[in-house]
Amino acid sequence: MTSNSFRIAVGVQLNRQRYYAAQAQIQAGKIATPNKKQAAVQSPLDVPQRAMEIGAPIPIVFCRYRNNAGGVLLSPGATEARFTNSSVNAVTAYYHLVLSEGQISSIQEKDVFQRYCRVGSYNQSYNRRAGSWSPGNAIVQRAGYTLPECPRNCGTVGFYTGMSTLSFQSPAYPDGSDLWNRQVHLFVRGGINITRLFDNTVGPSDNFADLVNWIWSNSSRVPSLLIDTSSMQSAAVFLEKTGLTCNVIISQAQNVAEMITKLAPYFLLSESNNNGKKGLRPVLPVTSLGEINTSAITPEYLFTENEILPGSFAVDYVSYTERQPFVVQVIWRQQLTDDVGIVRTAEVRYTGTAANGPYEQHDLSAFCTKELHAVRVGAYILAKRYHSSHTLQFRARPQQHTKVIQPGDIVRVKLARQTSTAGRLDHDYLYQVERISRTLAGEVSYECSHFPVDSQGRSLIALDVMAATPSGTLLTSNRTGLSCDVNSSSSNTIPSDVGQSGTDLGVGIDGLTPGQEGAASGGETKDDGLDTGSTVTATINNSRNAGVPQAGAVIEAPSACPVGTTESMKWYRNDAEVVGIVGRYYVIGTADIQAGGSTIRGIWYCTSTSGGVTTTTQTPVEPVFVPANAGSITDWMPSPRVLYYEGYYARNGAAYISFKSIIVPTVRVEGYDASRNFVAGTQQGFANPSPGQAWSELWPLTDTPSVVVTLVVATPYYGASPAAETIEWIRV
Amino acid sequence: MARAQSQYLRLFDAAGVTYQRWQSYYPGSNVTYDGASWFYVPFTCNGISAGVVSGEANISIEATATALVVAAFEQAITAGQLCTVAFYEFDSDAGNDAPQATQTLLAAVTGQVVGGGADLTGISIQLGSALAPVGAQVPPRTATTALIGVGCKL
Repeated sequence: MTSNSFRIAVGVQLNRQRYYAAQAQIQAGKIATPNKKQAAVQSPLDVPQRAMEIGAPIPIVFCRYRNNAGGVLLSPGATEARFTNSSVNAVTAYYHLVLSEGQISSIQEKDVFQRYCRVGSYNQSYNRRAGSWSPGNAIVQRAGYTLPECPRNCGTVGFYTGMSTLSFQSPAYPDGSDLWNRQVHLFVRGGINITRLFDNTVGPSDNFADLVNWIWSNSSRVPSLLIDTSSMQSAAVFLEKTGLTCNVIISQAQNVAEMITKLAPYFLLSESNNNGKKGLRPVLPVTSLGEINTSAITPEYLFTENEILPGSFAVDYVSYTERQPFVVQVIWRQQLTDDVGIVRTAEVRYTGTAANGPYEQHDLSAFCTKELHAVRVGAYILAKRYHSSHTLQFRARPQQHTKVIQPGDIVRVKLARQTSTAGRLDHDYLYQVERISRTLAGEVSYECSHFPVDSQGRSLIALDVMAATPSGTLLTSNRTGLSCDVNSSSSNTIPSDVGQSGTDLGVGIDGLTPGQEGAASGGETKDDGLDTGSTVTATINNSRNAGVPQAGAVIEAPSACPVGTTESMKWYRNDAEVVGIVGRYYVIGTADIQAGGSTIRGIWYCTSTSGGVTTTTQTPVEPVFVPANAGSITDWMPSPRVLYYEGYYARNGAAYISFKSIIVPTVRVEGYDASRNFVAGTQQGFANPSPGQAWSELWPLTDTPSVVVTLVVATPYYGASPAAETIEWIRV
Repeated sequence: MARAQSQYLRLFDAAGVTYQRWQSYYPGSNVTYDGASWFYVPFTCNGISAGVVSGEANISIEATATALVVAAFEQAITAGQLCTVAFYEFDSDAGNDAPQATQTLLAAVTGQVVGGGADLTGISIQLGSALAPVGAQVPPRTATTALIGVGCKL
């Protein structure tokens, strides 16, 4: 449909016995003021031939001309061209045109135009390039004549796989005429050939259900098992019986789901999802023959309080604004066989209402070519909004309805509103089931829309739709003047199919073979050390039981600070700091032996200063767990200046001593009895090889359990005060 | 009489080849119904819907993430297999050990395995339509160099 088509508003002559307004006069429609370009163009068909661009959609021509209605006027794009001039400089143009996806019916000679004139010759083909000429500019300079300005980029031959094509040769236009560059138009009486659902015949179709079925199969790749073929066939029958046809050229890319959702209501259909299968179903009740049912409706089921679960009944009323009178203005297309379609309007309103609007416009001109179709859609839109007052939701316990009711069925819901003072009021209506949800618990949820009926049980909406009758007035384009036709307007001649194979340009891509995924392998877990200090592992020094965290064992943390930093250590027992122990050694003592055990952990603090900025990093020591049965000890916790340590020992005549000394180079141990008499032979001088080291020494001592032995630490020898260092003695 | 419902699940491809048959009512046993053997897999279907509007939400199936289920699901979603979940109703007083010949089909939903999610213990399988809300376009083809050549400029 071109943008230059005229629009004439025509009132719909409706049945006065119903509630529609009748408008007998033809209103002169608004005609846009012609601009300069329009003034020069005598017809919307008289435009330059357009070229088809790479990336443009391959159009789908879906139509069927029958009963003097339908079909589409196609203005295809050219993909190749050739230009020649005769000795008297008459130019002949050749255009190769892409018509449609798939194979369309053969076009008759009377339906081929250049501008608005039946001229030229042509060949139509499918699945290959039509015609046998080679694209190119073959214009030569003729003496005494001006060189015609014909295009030079004339294209190359393609494959045209799966599409209908046409080769057009214009007449030889005389010197000075540029009519050779005008658009070619074709009136297509039969679009893409498909298997029609209605009669299972291969051929062109104007049935919207066929179009949707083709799109789902070819565009969306919906598996056939997910298409509800039964509902699609029923929808096709409904469309055939009600005369709602579809004659359309789909040339603009659009989303499939959106397109179907948008267009289906204009065919009085809705999409259905029946247990996962996609389909279409009429929005009006239909008879077994597929016609709109205007007789009494028998509901499939009666829902009462026996089935409806208490508290699940919910009514939602249509808002006041939605139900106000209005005029439905439906735009449709009266398709001519030799011109662009005349865009017309049909207005539908209830008698005595909305004389001055508001108007609600619905544009069906892309596909609707029958006034009957337009008025019925308009009547449905009007009646649905007028009559249907509410929607209903409820849940029902499983019963026979679980097996019987399907979406689209008509059901009756009857419940009583019983009050103590205001009597009884029944909620008793018919509904059309819109949605059914079945849950694991067994209850079934229904969403329904009000289905209004008259006193005879007939659908009010269906009655209004069937009562809408068109005026039946068909207009002409009123194109006057001398005919420029060369070919006959009654010629049904179909030229032979002449075509050729395309040329491989080497632009294809070889098919890819996907690789097969194998099992994962390799890799390793690494630590980048950027977390708060990498941990170091402590050594447990225990000469009695190597590596065992036992009373008296010494936990030694290795150095973890980098060179040039100052290191310090803090120890924690069950995350509480053990104050006073700052070195790398931690001697397991009484406080560490607890019910349930205890966890000893240390943290190195490495401090450095650079450029006035002090940075401290932390390196944790792997925690050591001291079990509850780690032994028992007597701790001698000195202060730095206490020289004498008393303790009790008993171990087969030997004493194991663990101690640590940070700085004191030499320690000396002596034993004293309970009278503080020196016990001969207990002098032990321990040379501390290097500060910070700890020993566990076996000190043989003859004693009895009752003797208290005092150990003296002296630096360098006994009697002298040791340096004020942290010295800890533990004896077991 | 006691009303009971059982669920059956079948994974198959567009050609009708069946890959998995599961049932979730008779634990720990394979049952025979409708001429086929149904393997016990603990799964649940959150309910199925049928309606007259488009854009229905996907149906979700929850199952334990056993090796069998995970492998079957991964194969199904890769190949775009179809899945049918059927709800049957029967009188459990009349027998609860095996499917009854008289059990009634309440509903059977068929969808394509279009998505899902999993953790270490469970897997959720989404059944729906492959009609991608964004990707599916009409017309399906566009003019390419191979189809129409280099094109002309008029």
